[in-house]
Amino acid sequence: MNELTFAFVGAGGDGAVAAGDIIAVSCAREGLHVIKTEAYGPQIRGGESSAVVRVSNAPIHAQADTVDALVVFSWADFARFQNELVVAPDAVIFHEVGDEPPAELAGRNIYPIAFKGAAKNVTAIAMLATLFGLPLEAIRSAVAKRFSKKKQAVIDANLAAFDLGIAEAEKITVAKRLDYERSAPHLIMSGNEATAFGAIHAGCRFFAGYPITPSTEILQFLADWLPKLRGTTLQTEDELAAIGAVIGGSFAGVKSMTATSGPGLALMAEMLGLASIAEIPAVIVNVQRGGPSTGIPTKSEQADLLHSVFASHGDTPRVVIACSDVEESFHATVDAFNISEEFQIPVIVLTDQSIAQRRSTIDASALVHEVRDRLLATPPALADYHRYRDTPSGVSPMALPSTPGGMYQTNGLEHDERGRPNASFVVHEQMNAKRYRKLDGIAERYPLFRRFGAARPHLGVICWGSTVGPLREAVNRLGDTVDDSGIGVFAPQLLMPLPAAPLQEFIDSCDEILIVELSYSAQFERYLRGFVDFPRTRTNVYKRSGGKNLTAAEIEIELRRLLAGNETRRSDSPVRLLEEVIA
Amino acid sequence: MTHEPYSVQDYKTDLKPVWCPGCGDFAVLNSVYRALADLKCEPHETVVVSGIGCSSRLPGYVESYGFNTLHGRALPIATGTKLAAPNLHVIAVGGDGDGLAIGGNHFMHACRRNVDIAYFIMDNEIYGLTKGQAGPTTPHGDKTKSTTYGNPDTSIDPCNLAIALGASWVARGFSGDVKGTTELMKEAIAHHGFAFLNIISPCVTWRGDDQTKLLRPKVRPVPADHDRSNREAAMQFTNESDDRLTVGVLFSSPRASLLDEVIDIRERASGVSMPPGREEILRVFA
Repeated sequence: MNELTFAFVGAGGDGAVAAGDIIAVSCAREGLHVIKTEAYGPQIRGGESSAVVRVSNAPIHAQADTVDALVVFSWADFARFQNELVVAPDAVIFHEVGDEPPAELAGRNIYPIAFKGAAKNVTAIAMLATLFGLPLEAIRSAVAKRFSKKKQAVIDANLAAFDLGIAEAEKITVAKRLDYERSAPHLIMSGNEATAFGAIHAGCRFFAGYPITPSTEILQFLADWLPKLRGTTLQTEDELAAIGAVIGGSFAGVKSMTATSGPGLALMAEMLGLASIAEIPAVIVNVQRGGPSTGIPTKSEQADLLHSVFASHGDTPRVVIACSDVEESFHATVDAFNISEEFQIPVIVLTDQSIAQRRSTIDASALVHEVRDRLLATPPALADYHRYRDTPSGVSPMALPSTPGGMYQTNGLEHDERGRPNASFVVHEQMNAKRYRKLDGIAERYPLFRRFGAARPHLGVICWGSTVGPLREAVNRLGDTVDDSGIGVFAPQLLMPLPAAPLQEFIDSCDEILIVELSYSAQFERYLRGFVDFPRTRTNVYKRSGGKNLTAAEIEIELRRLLAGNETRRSDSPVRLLEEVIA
Repeated sequence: MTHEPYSVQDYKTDLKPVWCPGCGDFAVLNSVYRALADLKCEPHETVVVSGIGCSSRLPGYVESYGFNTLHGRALPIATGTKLAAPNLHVIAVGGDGDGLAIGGNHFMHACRRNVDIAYFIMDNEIYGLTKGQAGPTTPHGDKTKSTTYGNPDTSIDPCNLAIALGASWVARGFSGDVKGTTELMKEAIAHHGFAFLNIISPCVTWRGDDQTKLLRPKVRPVPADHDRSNREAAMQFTNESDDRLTVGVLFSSPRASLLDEVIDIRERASGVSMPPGREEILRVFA
């Protein structure tokens, strides 16, 4: 086999997530491509948890549709993930002896195993590694390393559990086995870690944030690393203070960032306007989760789009950059700093839980990106200094506090070129034009979108963010059946300002359009309609609520339906459609 | 602008204050000029941050870097500025509604964090810019434009709050005493940590044009034998009866400031070694 997907399910303490981590890290070191995701119940401790690890010889862009090997430490916990973990018909299932499997799995390849004990997850991974051709010795040393700081008795127990797993495996035969050649090791990191590393790479030395799922790992990573880099991480009392401190830090000249999720971005809306009118660079990472309100904190959705592009009152220019995977989380964050600093404008990095908390293989060589800086006021500009001088680009040189002769007062009030409060329509019109002019320069200097697939597509698919991965997988699967006039994909990374001209060109080159997104109200489609024209009768939307990531399987069905010219879906209910996909 | 000696004139801008004639904030502004001049604060190394309200217009009238921010948000922005550029003199200013109602949460955390900024509240017991509604320091029972039948809420004494919240320096001033307020401001700016100065600054338009005259006889200095490091003793001068207005430093107990903590964290994070390069950070992911 070229790839396999493993899943572990259990109660907290069973080590399901740790098992997934050990396999993921070991396979990354072997040079395999890995995507690892986790899911939890709402409990802090002791609740159900699951880990899914997809391992492949070739690059992968999303989780697989189904699981090839499943380890269930508790069927009661498995039942809670029923809609999320789809077990392949030929999957091999292992479960605790004495814990009776559900009736619907009767007749499958099910093996009761006497896992027992604290190191049951270690037994399970040794068994899977032996049976499915995973790097056994790499996994053994990963286990030893993981417990190296524990007492010798604990280490011995885990290594004994590992040997038990190998022994259990010898009693079983499975049909699938991963075939691979060892190659150069990959790094493995989460989207949140890639974002935080991107911030460090871009020169961010001040971070302020308030803990919120699923963005908290960014705060934690930077709390660990920024002090080592002579920077500062401040945990604030709320999100208002977080973005406030970021604006204050950036006003003083230090590249600054905050990270949050939807509820936090809602609180930051007023400050977003302040950064915009006062023209102070600020990077805000929004890791989307299910909404509205508290919504589904631990799961993904693409329904903060309209909030991100339009949040705050008044005419408020801002930039929104989306990322579609872990690697892009790094690049989007560096781009966000570059744009924010160069154009003195707040920039929102829009990612989501499925990217932020997934761990993917990545190469250090991919984590390189040019870094750009702010236009500072130097002596010629300081003679008769006007902080908000109306320039052709809209960008005015910025004097940092401590600069003699650069003193100015900035504010959230409309102001003239010197920063003085001014309520005149004429000045307001002039300054709005100055601030909005920056978006033109950004669109020109940062043409950030992805375009792949057929050059002159029959079917043009438009999507963004975490939808790009499963779409790419679905298109790849159709590779043998679509010719050059088949499917083309346009995925804007810059969402505000939207690269409208190339998008319109793409739309006009297609016979039929499909918009794919994870938002019940089709926010992306509605947003795009403000900038581009779609064909009146040949525009389709595939959308549904978040809470479960879009799968390549459901997109594949939609693509095949449209390519075949079928007018109607098999089912209008996405939940029923998913059930059909599973069946 | 870096010539010496420093004078009040060096800190004035050519903007004319929007305040009503007789407003206590004019006197507070004068104290700011004098305090900055006496301390020889370089205008370009001084940042005045405010929220929204009548008093929050103050940064525009001071020749320095200034930031008139959002309603209630002066403190978080000032905190970010001070942490990013510790060499700056960072002064936050605003009104009682700005700092204690909409911005109350930030006040609480600035006090406990002991962030190195001086915070001056111009307390006029009313919302002036929105034309006369009750604020957090408006006395119980007072009729205002939003409390037609009398203020149903009890008022808070900002100094009492600050002491309770762990501020390391707390004082009360009176705008009618420019010299005394100037001295308090100087001590606040020089204080290592968060220094909170609540200045009673009457609103002549919405609280009556005789306020300063009525307050003056109630003003008395903190007794000479007051132990300012004693929290309980300091509390005696808060929530005072109607016939007393004690001015001066009520409480002072210096401790490590937020900046000290930040520097300590950096030293413990990396010792004296060079900052890590990208290879060292990426090793976490190998």
